[in-house]
Amino acid sequence: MSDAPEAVLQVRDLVRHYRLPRESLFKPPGHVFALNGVSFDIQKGKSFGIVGESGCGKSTLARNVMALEETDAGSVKILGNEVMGRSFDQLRPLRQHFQMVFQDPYGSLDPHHDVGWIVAEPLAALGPITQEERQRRVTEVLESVGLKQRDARKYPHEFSGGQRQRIAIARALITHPELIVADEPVSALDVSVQAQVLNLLKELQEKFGVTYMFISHDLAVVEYLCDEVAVMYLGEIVEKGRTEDLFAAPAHPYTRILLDAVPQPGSGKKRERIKLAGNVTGQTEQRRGCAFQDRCPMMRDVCRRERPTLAEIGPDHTAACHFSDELLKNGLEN
Amino acid sequence: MTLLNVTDLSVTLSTADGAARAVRDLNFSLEKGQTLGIVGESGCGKSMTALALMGLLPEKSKTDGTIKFNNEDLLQKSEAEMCNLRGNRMAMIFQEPMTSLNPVHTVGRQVMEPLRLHKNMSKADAVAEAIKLLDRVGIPNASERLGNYPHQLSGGQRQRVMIALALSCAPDILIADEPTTALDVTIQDQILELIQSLVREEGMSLILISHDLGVISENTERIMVMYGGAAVETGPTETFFDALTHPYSQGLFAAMPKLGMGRTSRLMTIPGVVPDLINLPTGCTFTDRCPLATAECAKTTPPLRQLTAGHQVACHHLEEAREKRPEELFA
Repeated sequence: MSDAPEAVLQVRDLVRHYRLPRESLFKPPGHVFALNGVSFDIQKGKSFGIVGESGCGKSTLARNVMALEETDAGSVKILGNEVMGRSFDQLRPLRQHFQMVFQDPYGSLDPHHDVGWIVAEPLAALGPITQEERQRRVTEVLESVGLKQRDARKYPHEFSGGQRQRIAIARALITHPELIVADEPVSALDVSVQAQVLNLLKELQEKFGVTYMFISHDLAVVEYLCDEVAVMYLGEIVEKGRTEDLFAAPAHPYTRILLDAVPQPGSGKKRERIKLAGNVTGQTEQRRGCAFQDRCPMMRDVCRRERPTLAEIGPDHTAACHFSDELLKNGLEN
Repeated sequence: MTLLNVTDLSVTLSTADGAARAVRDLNFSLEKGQTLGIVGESGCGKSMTALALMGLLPEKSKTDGTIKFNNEDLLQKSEAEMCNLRGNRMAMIFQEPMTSLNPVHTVGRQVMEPLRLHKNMSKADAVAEAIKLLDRVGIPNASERLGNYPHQLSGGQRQRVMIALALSCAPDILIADEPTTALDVTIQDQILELIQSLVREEGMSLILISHDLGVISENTERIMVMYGGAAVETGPTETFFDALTHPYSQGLFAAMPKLGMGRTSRLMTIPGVVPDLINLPTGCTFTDRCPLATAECAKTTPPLRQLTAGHQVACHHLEEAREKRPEELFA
């Protein structure tokens, strides 16, 4: 790939299927088709948002990008290095370049250790360093997320949810990574605290040029933070584009419906809109045609027969729908 | 007729660290068929208010004030009398549909329980009614679902079962505490729509509790903003967001990412954290985070003052707060 050098993260045709327990001795085991060929690039210093409902495979994607579990097929390159198929020991020196922030700031910090220890732990991947160097980096990173040097001796329970998420971000930053994968980092936080953490993430990006892969179900949060967005449905990317383009002119009915479903303060009354019936179902079957066919208000015969591929509909804007042009021109119709 | 009238409601929880004043001097009333939204961050007392109304507060708590429901004071009632009201005249939907249904009983049995208890229905009648209820809340194949256990249903369906349960005795008032927080946006949309249409058709009153200003704004007629256990601003939903006055309400609104605001603008943040309910500061609880705070704020608690019809704000610096926009307050 010619554009490879700039891409911090390059994911190609990532596939992950989980085997289900056998229902009977004589039946072949079923599978959960969590990822069905996901491809995207993230350029240096950019934020890439991934949105979708629960069960669409966003967290599986994060785990696979972080090489936390085995993948079935595909390739994940971080700074040009392939991480798929490498052993734990081989990955260890690479891990300093990609770090993760988890959703739950209560569950992701070990309560038995003080903050200094927790934040310094990823430094082990860098090889031996002196005690002074270690101290210096802990102080530096705590200050950059708005905590104080003396907080290093406190334990996680002494902090509020927002402060804990700052600690988790500090832990991710201490190795000076190129890429931070954040899986719903602000979902568990209150509105006023969420705003503080979002602004912090933005500041850190401006200061250190770090790249984010940002997973969220909250479209407003993604719009605020991300340069590019991918919308996932049943383990596939159904639409991808620059945030401004995708939010202004969604070219997949699912994106359109998701955007319509977000309640907006101030409008006072319910807006007229197309509502989505049913749940996300079909993770355990592989079908012909479009993944969204069961819930799509625009469904036609061709959607049952042929699977739409991601097609270019504008500069850097792709959507997997047979009727993108129609949707953009006429809007959603029942 | 006023259905619910809460005056000077205070809830004090006794914890290992001391008494936590979860709700302080709360006043509000609700007409029949009216919808009220209570919004605030965690620890602001919104859930405790709901539990106090239902008489479900933890044992180590003290409740003062009066809760008049159909002109009877709920706080004077015995547990047996409350049992008669609960699930019958007033019902509640909880936040987590995963944990609020009993995992060892079938869905049918749980929906039938209030029918058998409050309406003395025979088993056959209760089954027929339960099927009708599940059908009503949009669960497909209701008669087959009766035999299902909660783990066999999805999150959205479990919340629908909770709603069916709450509706079973056609209560006068429905209290929904963060009913959609654990759900996806599209499912949230379906559930809120369902609650809305049920409230409209049955003429129930609704108290909707949420941290999401969008959810509250689209589903209620009146809004009450709570902070540190007390109401800081209340008003009619239609004009509420244009007339936001209390510095906290303004900050909360400005801190919320909204679709369409783009990436160039910056979210306002309220400095500091929510107050500790055990060591509540004297005076206005928002003092240490408020850009308008003066010495007076730290000394005396501001009363709720009428600004326009139905719009009340608890702030010492009303005029100043009214003129300032969030950008000036939290720059």
